[in-house]
Amino acid sequence: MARTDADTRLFARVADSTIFRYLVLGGQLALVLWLIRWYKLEGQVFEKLAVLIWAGFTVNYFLPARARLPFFGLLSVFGIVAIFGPAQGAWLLTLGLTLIALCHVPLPFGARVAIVLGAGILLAVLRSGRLAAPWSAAIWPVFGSMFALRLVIYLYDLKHRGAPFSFWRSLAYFFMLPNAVFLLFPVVDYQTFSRTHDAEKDRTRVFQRGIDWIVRGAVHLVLYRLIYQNLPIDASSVVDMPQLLRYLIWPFLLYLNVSGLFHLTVGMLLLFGFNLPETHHLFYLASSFTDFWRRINIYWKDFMMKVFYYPAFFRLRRRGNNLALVVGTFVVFFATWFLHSWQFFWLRGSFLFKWNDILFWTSLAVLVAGAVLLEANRPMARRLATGEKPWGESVRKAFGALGVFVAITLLWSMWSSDSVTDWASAFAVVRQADSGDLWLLPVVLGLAAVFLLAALYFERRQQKPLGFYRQVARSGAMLLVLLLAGSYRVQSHLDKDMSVVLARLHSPGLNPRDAAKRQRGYYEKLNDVGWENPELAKIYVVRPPDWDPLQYRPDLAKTNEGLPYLELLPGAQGRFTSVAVRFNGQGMRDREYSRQPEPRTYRIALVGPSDAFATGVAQEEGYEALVEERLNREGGLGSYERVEILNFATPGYTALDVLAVAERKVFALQPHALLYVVHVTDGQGVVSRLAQLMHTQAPVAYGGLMQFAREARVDPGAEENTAARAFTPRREAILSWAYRELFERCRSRSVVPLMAYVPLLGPRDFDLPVPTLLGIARGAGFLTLDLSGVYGGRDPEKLQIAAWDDHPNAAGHRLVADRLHAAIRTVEGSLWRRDEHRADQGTGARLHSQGVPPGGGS
Amino acid sequence: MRAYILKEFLPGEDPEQLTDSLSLIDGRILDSLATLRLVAFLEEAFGFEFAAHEVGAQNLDNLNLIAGFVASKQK
Repeated sequence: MARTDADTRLFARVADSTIFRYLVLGGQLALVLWLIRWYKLEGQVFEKLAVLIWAGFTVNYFLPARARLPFFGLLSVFGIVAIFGPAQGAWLLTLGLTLIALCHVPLPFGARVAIVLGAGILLAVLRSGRLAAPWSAAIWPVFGSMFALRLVIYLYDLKHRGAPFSFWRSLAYFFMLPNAVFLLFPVVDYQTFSRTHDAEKDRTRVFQRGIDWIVRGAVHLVLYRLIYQNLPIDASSVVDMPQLLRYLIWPFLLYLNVSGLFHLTVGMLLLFGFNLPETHHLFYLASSFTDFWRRINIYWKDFMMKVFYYPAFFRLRRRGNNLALVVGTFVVFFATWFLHSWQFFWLRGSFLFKWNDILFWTSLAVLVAGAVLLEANRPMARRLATGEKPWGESVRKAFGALGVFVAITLLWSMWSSDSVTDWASAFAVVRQADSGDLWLLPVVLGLAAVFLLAALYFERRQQKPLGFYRQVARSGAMLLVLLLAGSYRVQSHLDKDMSVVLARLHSPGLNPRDAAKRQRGYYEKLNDVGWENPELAKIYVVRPPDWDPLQYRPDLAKTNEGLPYLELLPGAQGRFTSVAVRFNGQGMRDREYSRQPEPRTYRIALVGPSDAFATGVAQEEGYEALVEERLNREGGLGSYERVEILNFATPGYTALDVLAVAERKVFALQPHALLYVVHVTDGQGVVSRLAQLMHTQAPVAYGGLMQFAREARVDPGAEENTAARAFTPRREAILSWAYRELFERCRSRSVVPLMAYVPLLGPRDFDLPVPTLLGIARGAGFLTLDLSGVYGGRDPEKLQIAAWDDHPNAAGHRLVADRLHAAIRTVEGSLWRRDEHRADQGTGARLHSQGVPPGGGS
Repeated sequence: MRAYILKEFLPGEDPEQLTDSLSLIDGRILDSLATLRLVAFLEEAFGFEFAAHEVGAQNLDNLNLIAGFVASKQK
């Protein structure tokens, strides 16, 4: 027995020892690193930062108390230099330190504020691009994220001397390590930051809480990715009640991205002894609108209370409590709206101004002000987390939570929509609902019941403080579940649909819907993608300005009212997608060509969208140039000694644009063959273009297209999404019409019509199955070349031009060129026979049923 | 102060649970409206006025802090 007691004491001593607890904490952090790498959470830079934080945590853990704050400050500076490089890192630090120094110049406080304000205006002018800055534009978003709001809090606390100030505190506060990677960062309060550092006796409990929050953040981010990759749809795709439900619910669920990032970043700060409070608390289960405001983004709420609400309230309270409460609430929501736009300015260089943004914040202000008045006049009891709660109160709160969730979901979907009219158009399906939709009722009631049960559970649970090792066990279990959910081995045992859904957990990029819309330049049209779509927002923050689509580049292209929607400017040159582009005198991204082909030269006209244009690679690296060069190196095609491939491809072209450009430009240069490159998005491409033409009431020279509009009951001037929704069921018919029209025009000019299907690197929404697409092409009369699987087996991320753009890079173009060259060789006999038919104009008929299967000729 | 907080904000709760160091604001017992009610009570009971920047967890997060703050205002 004595021996057992001794063993127990020894075990307890070991378990409580500094070294053993470090090993337990460090081991969990190693699992976190694995998780970040496994799911590719927040990209490679974050992976590097996580390693730095793990190493920094180890050093900080064993440092004496007085060295910890300077160490964190220096580590943060090191992080900035490591991420931005010595030159740009030095600029960022110099700008920041200058602003901090201006806050402390020995002048009256008002004068200091004026000086800081002046410096801020100068920096804002530089940020807007009106004046050239000597540093890289890449540092602006991070600089803005560090100083745009924190400086307000810092000055406020400086004025009221609400916390101690020192060089190391200021350095740590503004440059705090995780901020170098996360542009969307919680507004940490200076006073709280200072007050909570190393304030708790048992540091290991704070560190463990930090790991808990990091794991919780990872859970939010993985759930977010699951939702983002699988759930979002557009208003134009809402054709029935289930889709309306889906359309309304996904935007609010995407907020998991923000809550996940904030848990992650604040959890990291806890690892350095900053015992900060929670950033979010079960916000989906808020039981009233005031409760919602208190639970979602708690740091923002605290910032607003401190700097706006309390000052407004104390100034007005003599005029009546209710008036002060309501005015204070509206001041807070106005400040929230304005400061979100202010944050946006530092991230993107322009202010965010959307009517649905204003409507969202105004609606929320009214709802919260109403709830504030109710609560002020009917105070409710609070409960201790450890105490028991009456059932009646819990049930009332659970139903309240359901009501708030439904209301916020509706508001959020409106906020995230492209416009209020776009959002309202989705509700058109309610009028078409019939008894066939009744099955949805038990589903909705079931979901509501699950929600109520969850709300009841979290409302009634008693939160006893957990011991250190119980916390470790909980976090460890969650980490293992996350790692198992992402395991390919586990996914291979699930049914196919489920494994496809889970496989997307590893896809950090745009979902198919956003990828398809961005490919069409859709979001640039909006020009104000905010944080309600985090993946897009991230792209637009880091993407250089020369990645704007060509329709927004009047120096390189001109847009048309009708078809084609865009034409390259003859002789124009400049930078586009970070490469030099130059267009020839005929408005092609190619060298100059004579009006007629030289004798014994076979001329192919290449038409199609952006990858055929060779977006993001040099012209000579594009598959058009590579195939042309290779065919000529091999001695031409058949009896033709030379081959010319004229590149008429233009980003964003659909079958309708191709039809128009063929008539306007291509046939004038007398090609022997027309090679049309298509993707699986071609069906939605024609739908979008036709909807756009109808909406803008542009002149349409094709009677067949207007017939589709009449059949779909789409009048000129119709709302674009409504028109697209009406055309979508007819997309195959419209595509078939466009292909037939193009084929007929080729045949009448003895031009051999070829169509090459080239896969996209990333998934897209609105896809047509490849056999359907090629079937339509063959039915129209095209000779088809199927390049399916051209990128097979390779990591798509290594073949794309940038992390945010999945057009093929030079290596990708080489793969396509190899397959295209082989496919052309396979149909060579059909190509050069064309001249034999030129005299009798009979070409094409024999080509109708032909096709080259995947891998054909290779 | 303890009696006021128990009566106004935590009716029916075990008084033993309201320790001197129990976090009221960071622990989500006092929200902004409850904090303003507590401020009004303290102003009336102890005869001083709060400034806006004095309202927050730094002065009101637990009974110890509240007592210390009230004492400092009465000096």
